[in-house]
Amino acid sequence: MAVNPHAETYQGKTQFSGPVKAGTRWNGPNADYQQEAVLGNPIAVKKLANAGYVACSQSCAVEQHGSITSATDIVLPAGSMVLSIQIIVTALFNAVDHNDLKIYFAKDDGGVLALTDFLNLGAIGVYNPTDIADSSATAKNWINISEDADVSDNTSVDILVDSGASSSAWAASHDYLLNEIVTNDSGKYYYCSQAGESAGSGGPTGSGAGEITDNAAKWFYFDHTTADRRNAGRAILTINYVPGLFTVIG
Amino acid sequence: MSRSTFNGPVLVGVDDAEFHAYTTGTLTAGPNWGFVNMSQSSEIKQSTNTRFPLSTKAESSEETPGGPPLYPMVIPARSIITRVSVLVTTAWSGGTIDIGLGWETQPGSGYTIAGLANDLVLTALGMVVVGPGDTDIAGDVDNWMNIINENPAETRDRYIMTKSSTGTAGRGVLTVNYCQAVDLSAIA
Repeated sequence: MAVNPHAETYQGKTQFSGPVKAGTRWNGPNADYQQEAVLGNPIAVKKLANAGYVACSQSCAVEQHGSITSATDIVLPAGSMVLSIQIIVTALFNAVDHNDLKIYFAKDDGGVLALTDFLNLGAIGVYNPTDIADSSATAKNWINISEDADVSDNTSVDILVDSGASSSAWAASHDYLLNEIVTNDSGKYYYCSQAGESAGSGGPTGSGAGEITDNAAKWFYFDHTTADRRNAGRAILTINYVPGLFTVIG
Repeated sequence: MSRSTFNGPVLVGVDDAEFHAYTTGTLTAGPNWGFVNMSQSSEIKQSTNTRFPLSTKAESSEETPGGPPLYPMVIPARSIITRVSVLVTTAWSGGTIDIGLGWETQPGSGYTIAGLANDLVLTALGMVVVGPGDTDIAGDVDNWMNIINENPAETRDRYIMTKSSTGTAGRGVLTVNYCQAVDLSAIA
């Protein structure tokens, strides 16, 4: 990692180039069972390789930005398989339509490939996203982060995060979610205090302290120059993976 | 990429870590070792035949009427399973899948076809993690705690097997996470 947050804490660390395997039997020059036929010649389980791969984790702090940015501390080795993703939200996200966070990795040309769809992180808590795939291509990115033709086979990849737009112009008859932020009435900012569909016209106005009713939705005005509620989301992102696993299952 | 292989289980920690004992606050020294979380993955296919997912790409056939193939996923005896998941890359056309384990060379006996997950639904793309509703009997849970619990007299390793209820279209990657040879037999 470019900046290892644990470097000063764990001085006695043991570091391997990996992937690290462990098991009482593994494929190798001394594994005579490699030479046995398969069909019609069953092999006792006690002769089969049982070595597995050590699962690794990398974590970093994530802030709501409103644009794609590097996750800074997470760089995955080439050929890695992502096992799971955990997001611990410490301050709720409030992007437009709660397109709060999407996770990518970088291609060689500076473009991106997605690991997830946009996630709704509208409450403090622990998220273990499983609805990660909006296409089979996205799912396959988890299996081998270097599989795409636009990613070199032997270089590591940088993990990126994108938090959607932090505010939008108020829209008529739109379903707003809690804590979303809109602009209206000559650029004033309002945050949603009650989710619901907005009115057919108008929208929140004024700069008073009271709650503003907008059909089923409700709003509060806030002064973004003194107490900006935009890009307030904070989280710890952890990616669990097996380095280089694709060379085994590919 | 280079590779480091250990006999295992691999533990991480120190054996003289200091901690304050509960109620007395006395500073005490003791181990803080933990077991490294291991992982095995394999491509799986929707099939009503019993299949033995391969953990390498060296094999060409997963369906072996005479017994498990050369390199199936094999979990060391006395391991605790920490997570079973399927990354669905082509959605199952319907039905469900069972994920089980076995210990005999012949699939006719010495196995339990739904020993880890029963009637798992894989009809949508994405990650499916086996949860509480996917393990239908107490015996399945025992298998997770100590992988030889299904037949404790057989202390051998366990290979992984799958069987779908219908269809052929689905594709995915099965991953089993475990801690090698923790041996929870005293408590589980």
